Amino acid sequence: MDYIVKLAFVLLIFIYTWFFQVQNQEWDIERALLKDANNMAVHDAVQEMNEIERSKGRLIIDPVKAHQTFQNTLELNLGLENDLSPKTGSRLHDSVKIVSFVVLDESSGITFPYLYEDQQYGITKYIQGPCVIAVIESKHPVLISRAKSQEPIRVPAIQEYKFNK
Amino acid sequence: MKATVLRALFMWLVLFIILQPIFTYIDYLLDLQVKANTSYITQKAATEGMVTSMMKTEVINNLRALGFSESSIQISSTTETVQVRKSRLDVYIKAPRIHMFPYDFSSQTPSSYYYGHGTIMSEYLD
Repeated sequence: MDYIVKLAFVLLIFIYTWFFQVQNQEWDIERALLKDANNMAVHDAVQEMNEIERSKGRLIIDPVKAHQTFQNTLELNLGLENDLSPKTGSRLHDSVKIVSFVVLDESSGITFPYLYEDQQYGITKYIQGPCVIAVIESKHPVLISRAKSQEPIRVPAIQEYKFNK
Repeated sequence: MKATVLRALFMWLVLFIILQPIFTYIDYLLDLQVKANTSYITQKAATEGMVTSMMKTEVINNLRALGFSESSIQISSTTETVQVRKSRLDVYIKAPRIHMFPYDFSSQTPSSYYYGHGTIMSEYLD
């Protein structure tokens, strides 16, 4: 009997650690997917230039079109519905939130290079030209429920134009 | 007799405890690498407007270094011609998955391959 109890205890510990390992691995894969999708989404967003302003020699990003394109690329890369909840078959388990979307260009009343600082999301970077800065997040995957909820997976991305020297 | 049976059962358990996390870890690393390479080739394709054969070779070499055979890696794209700026490019990578479980306890069959998909707008300027 004593032996069986020991055996059951070992099995329990094994199952717990295995689930914990799988949960951490899932976190890592989801974080990598979110980061890559955010990189590609800001890349696409900065291409939405205001063509009238561009013909006058000013690089101005159309904020509405940029946001649309940003969201569209996120949806396509992560397999999301229009409300950013995961489609059936998507690798993500929870919906994605766009927590910050900032467009900085020549219409923002700043001169480049510009030191961008965002204390809320821990971003500090010298920006060399017109850019889009975005932060997205999704819930931490849960295989083992705990009393304390884990922090969400949050990833930033910046895409900027650099002027030729 | 009883002790022998229990010991025999316990040996299987120990073997399973040692091997299963290792298989799971290898599976996760390979999946992550297929997805990372998909993202890499997609972002690189944006600058050229298409997936070039050089990019394919580079990714195949990356995956071959992880143990995939060259013939088993499938890299496909929605276009074989250069796409103009703001046109969308899709890149797909498929590679065979390792076999993870000695017994299949569930009715669901796990995916037999690792899969990566990336989509991006071309930034190609003539």
